[in-house]
Amino acid sequence: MDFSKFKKLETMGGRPRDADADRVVTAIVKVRKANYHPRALAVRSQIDNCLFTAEFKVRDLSDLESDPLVETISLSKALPSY
Amino acid sequence: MASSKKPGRDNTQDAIGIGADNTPPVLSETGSAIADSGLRSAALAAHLARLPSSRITLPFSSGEILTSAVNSALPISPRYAWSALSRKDLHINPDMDPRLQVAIAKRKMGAPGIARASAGADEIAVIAKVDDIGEWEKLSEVRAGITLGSADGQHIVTARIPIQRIEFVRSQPCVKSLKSSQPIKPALSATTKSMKLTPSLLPAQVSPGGGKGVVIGIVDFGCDFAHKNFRKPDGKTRIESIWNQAGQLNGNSEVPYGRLYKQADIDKALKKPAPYRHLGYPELSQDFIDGAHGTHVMDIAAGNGRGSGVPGCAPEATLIFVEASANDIHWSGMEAVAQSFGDSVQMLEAVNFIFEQAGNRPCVVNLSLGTNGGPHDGTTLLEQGLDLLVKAKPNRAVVIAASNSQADHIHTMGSLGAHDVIDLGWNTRYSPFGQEMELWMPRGSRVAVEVIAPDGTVLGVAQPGTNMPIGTDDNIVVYVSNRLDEPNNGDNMVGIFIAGAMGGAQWTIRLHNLAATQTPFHGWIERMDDYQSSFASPVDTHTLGSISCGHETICVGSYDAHKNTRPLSYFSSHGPTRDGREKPEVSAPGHAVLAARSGTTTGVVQMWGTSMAAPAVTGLVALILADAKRQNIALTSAGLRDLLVKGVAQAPSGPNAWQPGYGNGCASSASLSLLQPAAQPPGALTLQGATQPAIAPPPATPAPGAASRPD
Repeated sequence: MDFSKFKKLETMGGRPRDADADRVVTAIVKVRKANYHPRALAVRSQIDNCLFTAEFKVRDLSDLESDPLVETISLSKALPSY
Repeated sequence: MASSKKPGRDNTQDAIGIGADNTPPVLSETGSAIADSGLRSAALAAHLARLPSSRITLPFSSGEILTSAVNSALPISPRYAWSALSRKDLHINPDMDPRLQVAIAKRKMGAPGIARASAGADEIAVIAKVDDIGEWEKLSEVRAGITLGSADGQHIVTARIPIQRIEFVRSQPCVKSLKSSQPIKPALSATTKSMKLTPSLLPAQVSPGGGKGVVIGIVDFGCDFAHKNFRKPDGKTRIESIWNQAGQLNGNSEVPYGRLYKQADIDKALKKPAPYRHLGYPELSQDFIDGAHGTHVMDIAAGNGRGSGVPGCAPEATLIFVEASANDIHWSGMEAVAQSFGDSVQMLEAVNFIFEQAGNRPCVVNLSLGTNGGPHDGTTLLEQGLDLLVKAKPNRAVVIAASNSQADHIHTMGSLGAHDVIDLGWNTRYSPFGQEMELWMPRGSRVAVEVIAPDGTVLGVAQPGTNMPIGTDDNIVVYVSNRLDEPNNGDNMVGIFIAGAMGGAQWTIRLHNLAATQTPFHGWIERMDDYQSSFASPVDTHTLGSISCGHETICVGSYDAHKNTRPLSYFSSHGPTRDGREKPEVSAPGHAVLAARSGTTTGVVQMWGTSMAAPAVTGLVALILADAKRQNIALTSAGLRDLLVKGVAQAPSGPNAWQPGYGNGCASSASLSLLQPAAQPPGALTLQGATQPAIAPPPATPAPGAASRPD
């Protein structure tokens, strides 16, 4: 699944990104309504009323994209040490 | 260790052989050489023209604007025919000591391109003749040794300098001669002395108690819990818990994945002959040849010196360590490099875990990780999440390394006039992984992006709101995403990817402003250790790391504490943020820092980087929080930052003068004295935001999140 069509996905740099639809990914998710959790995902850690980490299948990105209460999704990005 | 070690790397090629830009000769399918780096483009085109047409078919819609073929399948051959050897134009000053020339040549042929935490392998010992020792020692590249003698106004001195900076140092007016030498013994760390954190140097009347009662959290790689610097006099551990995010879940409900080791688990393991194995923790003595990054970082912040003899900044603090990992998508590219990685999601979970474990205890978390890309305005969800965690309770802080990319020329900026065109030169590297550039422009801007190959071939134009994949039947070699309205900040972002096999020469990114309005832009080249590409015309500001631009977090640059003038480290990244905020806030010693070496129980190792500067400030923050606790003062993150900024020593250009590298100056224990009750007006026990005095009367109606003294 090509990620470039998802407007709610936080920018991930210049590299083209895609993954199998059944691939489970982790993300930071920001929602517009406090304590709202879309059914498509499993919450991992609640950071704030409107921000949490979660995991879901790539195929569920479409549902999250169309969910008006989902504001932004940031898929995990690698962070090496300095 | 983490990013700074490539044990398998061999930099022994000489100046004849592999391409000057680390580019193996391009071989035909029969194995004969068809080009060296200088002739590569033309030869490649001819080579491709001889290939079957199916090799250069472009299945993408942009194929019609591709005027010549590109092929991502350039072979990376492990063997080189004699005919492939050619003279390389490495542009090395022939007037230098030949041994220095060889060192530079080897580095240009493939040594790392980024300043890294443990740079011992990238240094060279030198003997220099200088006419001004003061100017010599001011150079941040110079780790001075001793003065061997002086005559006629000239001095013979020894030093160690980074190989990548030899030519720069040699070109300085004060340097009359520079020759390679035998290694010299490194000096002891001056971190705590420079920051006046040793007990005898603390301001009068402060009693931070070594940070006792404060939790210091470290999210990093490699926690050597067996090192004596992290153990009590009775041999038991000082570490409250270690969460190994990559470990096998042991059923402990306090963590959702990985493995949690509590104090009792660690103490039990310490009684065994093989404590790491007993605990199921990575074998530090084997996995980290030159010492684990996380152990070194934690020692700077809070080691007690029982093993090494030199304590860190907050030796009585309680420790929580999270062994970072990236268990999720392993994208191709940087993520595939053989080094230790955390990831953004698990980092946020790690910081959340540490604050939860700390409960109501004061807590500061150190993060010495990051990359180059991103909006640099604090709007990434990771940065927003860190801000929220810091603001959730008083007496919390997150300290982040500024990044080590200042010498890598990874940023540029400019402004496109109405319907203007600007070319950005991109010096790429031949690599297995490819390289990425990001361009950020304000919302509403409309800029088309044209990609031009090194031989002048126009590969295509990505219009605003479109993407442009270019490649062969089975591979994408160039990809441009011209994205509008990034969801976090509404800005426009252009991402450009060039496959590693296409690197090795200068590409041109041509920006066309389609609008009739002025359009400012910033560009960053993503981090790629060992294969770092750069802008041909860099603007060396705004080089802070990808997670270093938050609103509530504290960003730290690096200086050399071994010199009286405290020169800024040449690698220490500069601010400000893209939205114009003054970061880094402060700087701290990060140059040639001696701290705990994993796998030794008592030994130390020298590393440098902003990774080493950040934990020094983390330790200082722990002392401030401890003294604030003693005085029953609660601190907001803004108030804490204000104390740090106002307590700096030797601000480079006088008081309250922010500079892109140093920040507001060198972090110092003077910040502690600002907490003194004697300095407060009656009733002034509440600390507010950075725009207000660090100590001020309580407001009539406390703002949300504002700290106040408990009743």
